[in-house]
Amino acid sequence: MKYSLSWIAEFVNLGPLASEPQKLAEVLTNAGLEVEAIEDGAKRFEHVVVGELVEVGKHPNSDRLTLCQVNVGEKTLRQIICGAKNHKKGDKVVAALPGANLPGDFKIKISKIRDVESQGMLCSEKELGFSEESEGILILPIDAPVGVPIAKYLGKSDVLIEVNVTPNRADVLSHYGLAREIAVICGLELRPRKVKFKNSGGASTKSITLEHKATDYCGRFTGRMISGVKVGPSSPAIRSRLESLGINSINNVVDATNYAMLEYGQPLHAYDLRHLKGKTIRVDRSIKGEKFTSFDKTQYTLTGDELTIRNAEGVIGLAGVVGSIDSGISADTTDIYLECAHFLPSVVRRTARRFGIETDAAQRFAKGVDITQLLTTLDRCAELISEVGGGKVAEDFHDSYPQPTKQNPIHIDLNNIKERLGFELSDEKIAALITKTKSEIKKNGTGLEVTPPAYRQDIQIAEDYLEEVARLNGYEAINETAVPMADWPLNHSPDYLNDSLWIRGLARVGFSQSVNYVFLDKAFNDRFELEAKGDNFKISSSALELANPLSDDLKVLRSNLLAGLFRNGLMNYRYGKSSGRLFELGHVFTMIQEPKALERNHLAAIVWGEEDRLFADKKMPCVLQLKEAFTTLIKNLGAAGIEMRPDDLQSKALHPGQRSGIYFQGKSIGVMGALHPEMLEEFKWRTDVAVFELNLEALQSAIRPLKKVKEFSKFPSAEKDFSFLIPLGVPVGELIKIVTKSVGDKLEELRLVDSFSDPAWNGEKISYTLRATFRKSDGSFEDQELASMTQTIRDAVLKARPEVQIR
Amino acid sequence: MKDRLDQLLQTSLQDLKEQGSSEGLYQQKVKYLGKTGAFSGLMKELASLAKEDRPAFGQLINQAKSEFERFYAERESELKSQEVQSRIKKEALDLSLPLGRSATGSTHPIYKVIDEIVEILERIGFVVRTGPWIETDFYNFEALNIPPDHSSRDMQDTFYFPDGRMLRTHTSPVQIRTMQLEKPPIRILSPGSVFRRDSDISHSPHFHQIEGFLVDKKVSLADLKGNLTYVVRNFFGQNLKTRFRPSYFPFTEPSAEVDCQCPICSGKGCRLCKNTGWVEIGGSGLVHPNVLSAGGIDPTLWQGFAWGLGVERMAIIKYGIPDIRMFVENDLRFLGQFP
Repeated sequence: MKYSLSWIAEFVNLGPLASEPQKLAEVLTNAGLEVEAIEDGAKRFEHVVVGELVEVGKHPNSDRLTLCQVNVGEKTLRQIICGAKNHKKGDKVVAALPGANLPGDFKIKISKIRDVESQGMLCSEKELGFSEESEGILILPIDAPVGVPIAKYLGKSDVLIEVNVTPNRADVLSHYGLAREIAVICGLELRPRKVKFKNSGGASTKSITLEHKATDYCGRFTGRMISGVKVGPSSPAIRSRLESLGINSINNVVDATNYAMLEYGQPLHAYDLRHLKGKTIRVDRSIKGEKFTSFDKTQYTLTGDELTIRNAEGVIGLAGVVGSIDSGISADTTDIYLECAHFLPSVVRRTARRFGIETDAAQRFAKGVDITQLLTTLDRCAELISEVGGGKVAEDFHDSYPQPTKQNPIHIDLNNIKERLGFELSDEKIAALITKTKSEIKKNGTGLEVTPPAYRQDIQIAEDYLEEVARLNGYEAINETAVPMADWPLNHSPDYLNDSLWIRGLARVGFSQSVNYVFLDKAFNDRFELEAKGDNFKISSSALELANPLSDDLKVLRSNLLAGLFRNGLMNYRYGKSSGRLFELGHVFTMIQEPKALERNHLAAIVWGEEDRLFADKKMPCVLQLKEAFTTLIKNLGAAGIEMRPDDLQSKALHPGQRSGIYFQGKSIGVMGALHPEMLEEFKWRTDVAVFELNLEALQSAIRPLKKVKEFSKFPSAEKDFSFLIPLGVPVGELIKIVTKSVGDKLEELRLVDSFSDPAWNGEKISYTLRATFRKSDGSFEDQELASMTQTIRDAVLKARPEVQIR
Repeated sequence: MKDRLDQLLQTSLQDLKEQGSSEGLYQQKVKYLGKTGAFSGLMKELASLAKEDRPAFGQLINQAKSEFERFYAERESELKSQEVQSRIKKEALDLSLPLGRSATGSTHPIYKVIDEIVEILERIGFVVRTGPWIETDFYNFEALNIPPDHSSRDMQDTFYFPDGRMLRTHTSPVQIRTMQLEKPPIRILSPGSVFRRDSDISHSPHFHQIEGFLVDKKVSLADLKGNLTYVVRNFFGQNLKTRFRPSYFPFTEPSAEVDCQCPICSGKGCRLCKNTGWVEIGGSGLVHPNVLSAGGIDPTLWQGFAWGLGVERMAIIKYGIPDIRMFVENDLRFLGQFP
């Protein structure tokens, strides 16, 4: 909230702080009332004064510029060059003199314009920051006193401070409230105002029947009649204050309610008596289904949960939120019923949220207004109306307060306070600090029974006093102690450990980690939708939708990581990265069955283009680069049980001929493949692109810490090459499995050493040479034994896949 | 015969001389010294000489053979050295060759910061705990002393799902989840994604926090401040001071905003700290008794502290990152700077 320092000074004598707003800001910030900005009107317009154009002549070197002699109250005239056209001799203008610093950090100094000296500048409204646009310079009324600082002349010399008031301190959201808090913090005397009505008498408030129902939603209702008011403009003093704090002046009655609100924090409402049909004002819950039209002609259907203000005929306002079309004040209003009430914060908040109405009043009621102070505010507002609008304030008033609130005493254990403070404080000092908060203290054994003042609704438990004591003494006194070593083993949660290992692993094989927002456009997300049979990997088509997205194109939560990585890769490609590797790790979301959503931790990666390799004779397709990196990654991590084999995956995003399922312990957990050429064409991505995405949660048990090293054989190995001529469609991975199974642990390694395809085969078959390394733990191989193993392998392969030829 | 021997030695030495490679040289050695070689042939002829002449002549042959071998060794070393020289010449490589781009991996600065803070605090027994990103009202608000329809909910603008659940607005739900599962004393860190319905030049709707949470028999504001100073000094690697400012968070009482001395200017004043010498890094406080109760821990027996740091904020301060959009653009020229 923005505060006027001069207004605060009406309630507390700020002493030297009044002229040192910076110091006051520091005091407030250190006490938990963070000052976000200080606007010093006088400082803002230093060296900017009222000037009189004694002479307006032509600039010798320019047709567009004028050369003015300006009287700014100094002994000599100032020569100022001006480019405007709307000024003439004798005008009063705003002159910014050297040293002035106009909004936008525009510093004024003596300068030469087309070889002629200019000793300042004549200002427009825009240059002064008064308006966004303006034509010509600002011409002041002819009676403006020459030489007077402009801030003083325009009444803008007040200091405004903007304080970030935390939601628990609604009691500070007014000038009186902040003054009261300053008095507490600085130990100053608070000077409450005494109300004096200019005119009183007139019609009795009792002529209006108050029916105060729903007292659970409205704890207190006060009201007062004012008759014979003449609606008109407010006094300049009131208008200037309201406007400087960002509130538009409407008329003297509405302005008075706003003024009283800024002063005491309590919103008020003024009803034109003519609208209180049946001379009744009723406070009650709404009736489910009834309609209400607000002053801006929006119609609302009520639910039965709102608190309404009604006349004998129906709803005239949603309490604390918004008034009806005819509940307010018009130019011909004469008799007024002024309302000042307390509405239950949660009800006001609920109502405002339900209908999407955000008013200053609703926000204040939702934070909670001071129920004990209603009459003060009501009377202050009535005083203002009678003063400016000339109305007579009724001698009597309504005050329905069925169950006055009472603050309960809080027990404070002094030892507990001392232990938790973090600095030394005596019992007496603690008691003195608590007394400062205007709380009542009673000694009770080793502790205190403390009752907070009524306006401090935020003080509920002993810890609240712990904060008050720490705060009023100053947080800077808090010492520092070290948390001692722990005596338990480090057991991070497994998913964090798993994530860390994969992140480091991927970085090690050349991938950079991406981080994308979880929100995106549904259509784009769905393009990367992948459906695979199997329990652990399914990216469903129904992405999860937010009820209140930032915008329509950020409406769904990602169901896959690929959509984001695709964008990242494409952007880098367009910036000129002809090859690159990115990965992302994070949660993805799918709707399983309304409303059950599934949240899972995924890992995905993208590779595009080819690294330049000076000595490589063959290009390696992207998807194989990715597979190579993935294989190295798995080996580096010591992960076991992961394999790649074809699956019946459906995806529009992947190249039909270059893709594979990723399996862990027989279950489908992910996919790898090149991106579909059509997709690349669409985005004009002129390199190969390959991706994988997998369910990382399913892989949590894949990486196992090393428990015991394996012993290895001291005997020499034997090698044997097998060439398989394979018809299209037989996966080599399957043959490797068969070979491995047939000879068991004597096979140390099986690796691909050559591939060959005769053009005459028309791509229908291909020959692969696999080199087997055999080794035993108990001896070297006899020729006969090797021959028998070779035979075993041949038999096993031919039995499973008779269409394969072995050479 | 002596003439023949001389002749043979001359020819063989000539042959060795004429060889241009160590391989050819070796062939000559086989040719002359092998089992069927010329010298062997002469040896065999010894039988035809007079018995008394044999030793002297045998000696002559052996002398010739050693002469051959000596010359061979000399020649071999000469040729080998020539061969190495020519190989060196042939194999010369310019190591200033720019060998194209090979992918170098990197960790995202957000994760790097999280890792660094975890490493600092795991030394004193803090363990990482995680939680879901979609939360219920209970874990995200109610258990954290933020009742329904309370104005403190406005402090965090929330993304909701149609069924009333939400994207977590902070990592604090993990406090509650941990307390429900583990007995005190507790020391945990909960890093991760959080979401607020807010997007402008300094706010992003999806950002990251890391939270420290400790529950023990006696916990004071001094413990909290000491712990934060420990984090700050180790994270920035400088002897910086921390400062508390009173504040309000529903889940802590008392609450404090945490500033640390600006690591860029060491507190002297610069652009980052807007010449104040201090930068704001997060919020903290002593755990509110209602929060301990909601987690099933008796607040009359246990006390706690909690703090939360903005991960992006820490990265911005430590690495001078000028714009929060850089965190999600994923430009390799940015990412590549965090190997």
